[in-house]
Amino acid sequence: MDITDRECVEAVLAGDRDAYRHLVVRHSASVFKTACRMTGNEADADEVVQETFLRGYLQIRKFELRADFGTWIYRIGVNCSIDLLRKRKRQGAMRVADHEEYGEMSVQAVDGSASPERLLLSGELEWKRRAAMGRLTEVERAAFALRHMDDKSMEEIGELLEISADSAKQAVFRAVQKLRRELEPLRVKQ
Amino acid sequence: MKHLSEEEIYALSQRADGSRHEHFAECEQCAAEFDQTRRLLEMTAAAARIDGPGPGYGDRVFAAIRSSLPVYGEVKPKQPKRSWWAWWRTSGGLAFAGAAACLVLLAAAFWAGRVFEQRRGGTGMETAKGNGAAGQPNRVVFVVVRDHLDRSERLLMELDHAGHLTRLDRGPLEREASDLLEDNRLYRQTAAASSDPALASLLDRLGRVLVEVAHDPSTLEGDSSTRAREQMNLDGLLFELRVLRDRQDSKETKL
Repeated sequence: MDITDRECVEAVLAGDRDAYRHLVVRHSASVFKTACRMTGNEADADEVVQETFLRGYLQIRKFELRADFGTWIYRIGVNCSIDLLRKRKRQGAMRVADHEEYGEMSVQAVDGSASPERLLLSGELEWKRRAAMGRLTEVERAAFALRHMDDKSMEEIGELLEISADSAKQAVFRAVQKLRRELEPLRVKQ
Repeated sequence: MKHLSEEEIYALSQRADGSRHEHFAECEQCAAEFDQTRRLLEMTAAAARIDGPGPGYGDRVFAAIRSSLPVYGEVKPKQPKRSWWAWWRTSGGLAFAGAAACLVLLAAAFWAGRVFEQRRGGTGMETAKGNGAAGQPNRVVFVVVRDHLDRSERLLMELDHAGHLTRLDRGPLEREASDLLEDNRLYRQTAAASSDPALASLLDRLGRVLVEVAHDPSTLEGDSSTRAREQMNLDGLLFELRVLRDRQDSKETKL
């Protein structure tokens, strides 16, 4: 019989540390994916997942048994991702690609009528997008990733980032503006 | 021609049906921006389609963090607060208190004894001194003086009954007189200090006789012997000594 999230939490609180393994196994993949989308690479996502479940265990006494553990740990994962982005920014590790390096570049290989699949074939374009993502602020990047990668509504984003829905909307829009301008030199020549 | 705002273009790019606004057919600039935004969002959506971490990932994560996880059940139950009396009982406080009480009682008894003695008339030394001053020496003094008087009486009697003594005969008398002389001086001083004039006077005259006997052997030889004995009035001294000794005896009996 499969043990529920609530029973796992109760077991952990009763002293069964290994009961937490069920929760990690059950929810680590989704946290990993979100972290991967927000941070942009698997190594950082892996770090976020460990930090998320460690933080979740240490705060598990605050978890309300009526709530959904998946949602709760997802929120912790988002916060951990933002923390990591801030950390990386401080370390200067986000400069995956230098703006000037690609600034003068004009990709002509991509046809304007090309399908999205063809666009994705361009590794250069994807590299450019990732570099542009790295230059967003943590909130803009998180809001954009949650909106267009995790399909969260503005209300959900606001709740996750502890800002209002309007602020979340503005953050997403600013991110789109910046990314579009960053990718403008890649405009396909007609 | 009025262009669409970036916000409007962004909103149009999110249309689920993917249809284009009619404005884009007329405005190349807005259409380009629209296409660019659509392309960005498509790229982003494509990038979001990532594979999962693979099987066993959760177990690996748990293994990595397990050693950092505290066991909540191991938290020791809070000990009930012990009362000061319980702590006192178990920490040897009672034994300590008992010892302290004994010391206090001992000190109190000592202090009470001192107070009692002071109210009764001072310390033992002061009592002896006070009694001496009043002409009532304590029992030890009586015994010692009485012994001295007995020995002196025996010496005087021997002198009184002795005739002409040879050099060999007078040797023991001289040694006895010499022994008594030193004691006699001390007792005389004590009697004078304790205001006992009768005893002091007797011991004074006895001292002179003892000096004569101890240091002037000629007093015990030939005719001078008889003369010396008359001068020393040994008979009178013996009488006085006996009277005084009797008085000492009666005082001792009273004590």
